[in-house]
Amino acid sequence: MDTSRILPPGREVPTPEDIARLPVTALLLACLDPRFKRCTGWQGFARCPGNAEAFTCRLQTRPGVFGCLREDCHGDDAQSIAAFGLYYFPHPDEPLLDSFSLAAEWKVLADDFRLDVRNFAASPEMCALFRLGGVTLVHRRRPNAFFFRLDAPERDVLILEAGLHADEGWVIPPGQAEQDLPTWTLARELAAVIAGALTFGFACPPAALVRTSLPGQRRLRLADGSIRRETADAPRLRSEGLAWGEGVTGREPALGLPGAEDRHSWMAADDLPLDAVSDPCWQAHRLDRAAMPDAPAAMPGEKRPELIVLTGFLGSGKTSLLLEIVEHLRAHDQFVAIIQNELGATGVDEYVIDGGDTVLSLDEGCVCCSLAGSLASGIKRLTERFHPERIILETSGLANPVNLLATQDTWADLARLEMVVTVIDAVHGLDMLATSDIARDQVRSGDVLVINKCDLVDPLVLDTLRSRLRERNPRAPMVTTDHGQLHPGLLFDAGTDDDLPPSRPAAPLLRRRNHEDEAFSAVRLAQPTDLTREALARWLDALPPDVFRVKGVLRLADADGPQVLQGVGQRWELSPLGRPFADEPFLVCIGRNLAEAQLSFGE
Amino acid sequence: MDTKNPVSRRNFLKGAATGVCAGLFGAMGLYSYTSSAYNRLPKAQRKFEDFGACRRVKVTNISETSWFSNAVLMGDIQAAGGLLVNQYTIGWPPFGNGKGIAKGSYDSGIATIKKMLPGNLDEAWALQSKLGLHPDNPGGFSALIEVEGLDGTVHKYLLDSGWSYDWMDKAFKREKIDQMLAAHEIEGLFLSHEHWDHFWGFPVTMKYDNRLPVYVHDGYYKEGLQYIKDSGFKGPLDIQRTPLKRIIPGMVVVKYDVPIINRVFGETSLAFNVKGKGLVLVSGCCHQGILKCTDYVRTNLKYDNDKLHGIYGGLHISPFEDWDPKYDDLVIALGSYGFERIGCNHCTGHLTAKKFVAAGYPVVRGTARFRSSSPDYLGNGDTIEF
Repeated sequence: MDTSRILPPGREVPTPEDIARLPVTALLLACLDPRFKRCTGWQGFARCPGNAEAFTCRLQTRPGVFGCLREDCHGDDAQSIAAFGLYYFPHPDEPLLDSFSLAAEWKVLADDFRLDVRNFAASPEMCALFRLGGVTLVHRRRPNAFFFRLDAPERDVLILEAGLHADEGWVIPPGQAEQDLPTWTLARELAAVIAGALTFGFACPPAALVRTSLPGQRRLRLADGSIRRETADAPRLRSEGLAWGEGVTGREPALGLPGAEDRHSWMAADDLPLDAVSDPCWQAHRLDRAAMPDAPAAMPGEKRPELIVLTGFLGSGKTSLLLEIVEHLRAHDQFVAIIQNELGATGVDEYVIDGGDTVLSLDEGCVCCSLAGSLASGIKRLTERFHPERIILETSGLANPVNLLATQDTWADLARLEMVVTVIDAVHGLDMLATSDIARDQVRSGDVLVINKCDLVDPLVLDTLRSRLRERNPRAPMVTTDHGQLHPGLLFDAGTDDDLPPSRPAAPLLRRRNHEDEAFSAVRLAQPTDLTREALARWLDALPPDVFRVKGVLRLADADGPQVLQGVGQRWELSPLGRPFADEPFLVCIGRNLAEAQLSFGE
Repeated sequence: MDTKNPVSRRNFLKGAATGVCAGLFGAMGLYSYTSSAYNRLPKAQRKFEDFGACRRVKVTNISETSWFSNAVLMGDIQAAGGLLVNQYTIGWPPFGNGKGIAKGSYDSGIATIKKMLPGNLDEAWALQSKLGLHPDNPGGFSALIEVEGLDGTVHKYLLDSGWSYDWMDKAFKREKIDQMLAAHEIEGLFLSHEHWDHFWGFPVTMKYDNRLPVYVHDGYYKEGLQYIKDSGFKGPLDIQRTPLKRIIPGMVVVKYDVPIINRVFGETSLAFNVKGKGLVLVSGCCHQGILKCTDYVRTNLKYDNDKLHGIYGGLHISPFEDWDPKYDDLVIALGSYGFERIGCNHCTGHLTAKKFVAAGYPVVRGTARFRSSSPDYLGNGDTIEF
């Protein structure tokens, strides 16, 4: 166990304050590794303003926002103890909202809820309505060990004895639950990520896992409004403790609920319970081999840089967007190289892009076939010189990305196409759509459509433009910008569009998790044996337009070794996985209103 | 009872919302918290620690250009293995050992030049230009801080010592820091964090004065502490272990315990209370983010007019990406604090600095000289007074 990366190296004995800060410090360190973020579905973090030690964060598994608030921190010579509360703030559109209390639901539906969430630590009401459970983190000095324990009720239920009646009928029939929240499941999702970060920081997995439980509590609101609590065997109060360090026996009191009679322990050499095996805390110390639940195409061994194609007519604002993306990434210590397909015409700010070093100009004009060839060598040159994690190709305004994408095989082994971003000038957009084939193709092939200069057009014109764009491209989220400024984060998190539901669908490969959002779903299919490339291609072509993405790891009859399939819209690519694959081949389709029947391989 | 036509919860709530007043909900007795609701929420209070005041603070930017090609730097980091790789192993000068990328170590690097430190830096850097990677890329960050006390005495300090021996020596000479150091006019060197571009140029300060007090903190790793010795330091070394350290009235060092890229831990910033004006923050990189920085000073310190008056340095908003991209915006955040004088450079970002100016923030612009490239930055050789 190495603590020198998450505790000050010059500090001989960690203080209680150090322990209280450990979750955030560990997360900060772990998030420097993009594999950790992929492994845990990490979607960002924000510290609560003011002096409360609290933060909010999002995970790919849920549309809402998680929260963590420090509640206590104290210590003595033998140990330091810090306690935290875990919270979940649901998204107004998610079905889970109806499982919360009415007061909570009411708060969520209020206009300023999003701001309240960011600042939840300052509001006792927010804390009381959305708390799921608690985490205790203990540092024992001798022998040196850390104990991390999550306590939460299996479910948090409140029954209304007399129900709730409105003029039109029963809102909650008598004897039914006003609140029935899966608190354990929710709390565990956040706790698992924090535990993963600790494993990452310590560079070793836990030495013990302990599960205990106690009888829980059932709450009943009586007709007079008072709440009666009774101890009940179900739902139970559950607890899970993890320990890292020396001299861990698994019997330490810090690992279990006091007074619990049932106690199950697993020590380092034991087989873990199946539902815990894929938790990040057992993988974050060796991310090279970790399972990446959401991104089979971005497997641990993936070395190809991501390619983002930026397309759109001249003057639409591509270059401004490009500069924003570069600086945004740079501010987060991430680096992107740029390939431009226009000779100096776009006036790139060389100070931002390093005096031409990372900007490769492809001097082919806009003939797309030769572009593909020089694109391959351009990518190669950049990769060999700078090893970027991302490359943005800014195409010429008159380039047709459809042609470019059709020649993917010449460069697919060098870069992994991540998305096509189409920038549209709101002022000329309608004209362009009406008169230009290329403009229509640019829109059609976009994964995200950015409508720029919205401040310069009438809202009605904008609405019409949006409808026309939607006709051309039924799937891509649309993002609007005023004054030509767009926060690049919105591209990478393009679920913020009004038209589409907020949750990013996650492919539930190794996670056992209820995805309760109905609109977007992921359907996992087994791959038929003896599947050929041709049959696969036919199947892909026949997919209904509601299928947004397809991913999978396949064994094809006419290809060597396991192949990774990645598809977005009408485009897809197959590439060798590059390492042994012991599991069953599979495909995951992500989209709206999916019926498994429509998707299966008919033959 | 008719349960055949249930009223949807949302419709009910919408009705309740358009009801008489916000208190309606509570009045209907519908408030119920989770059973997990915690009663004892910590009371967060401001501490108002009084650390005195000074009359004036002047910052001279000796150098803010830490390196000249981001592509080359990031390319090296990527090639070496990414943001978690120990900086001493990458192979950059002055710790190059001739073995190439990611095969360096502090010991093998320092062995090549130890005898030349700190008196013969030209030779040391010339040798490292052959052994280390991309020797033309390093620049460095360093600033001269002049603090005028209420009694009229002016105290001089250095914040950070840059990276390239060659570049920093020239910058020191340009701003006459070499003469000030030799005359022992500079009362201390604050090393904000162990990063290559703030710390590896330490021998340049040592060349002119190897006995001035040096302030580091408990985030330094053993390589860093060894380098201080190996650079010929003979003065008092102060290792800060507490979050706040008072220097002179109106001046404190604030320490943030945060892990930073490439195996660095912790960063300090200088905070001043300028009489009649308010708090001034001077940072190297502000890796912990100005959000945390300002929250911390606001919670703990007492300063005139309870006003955040000024800020200088490389400005990061937060070490994390926000989950709501609309908030991951330094431009908006900075505006909300109401700083009255802003000098930004280094890792702030040219585009961001430009947006500050466009938003009408009180940015003190620079002259874009000596390889600083944007006038929106307080560039090399520029000064700002608070």
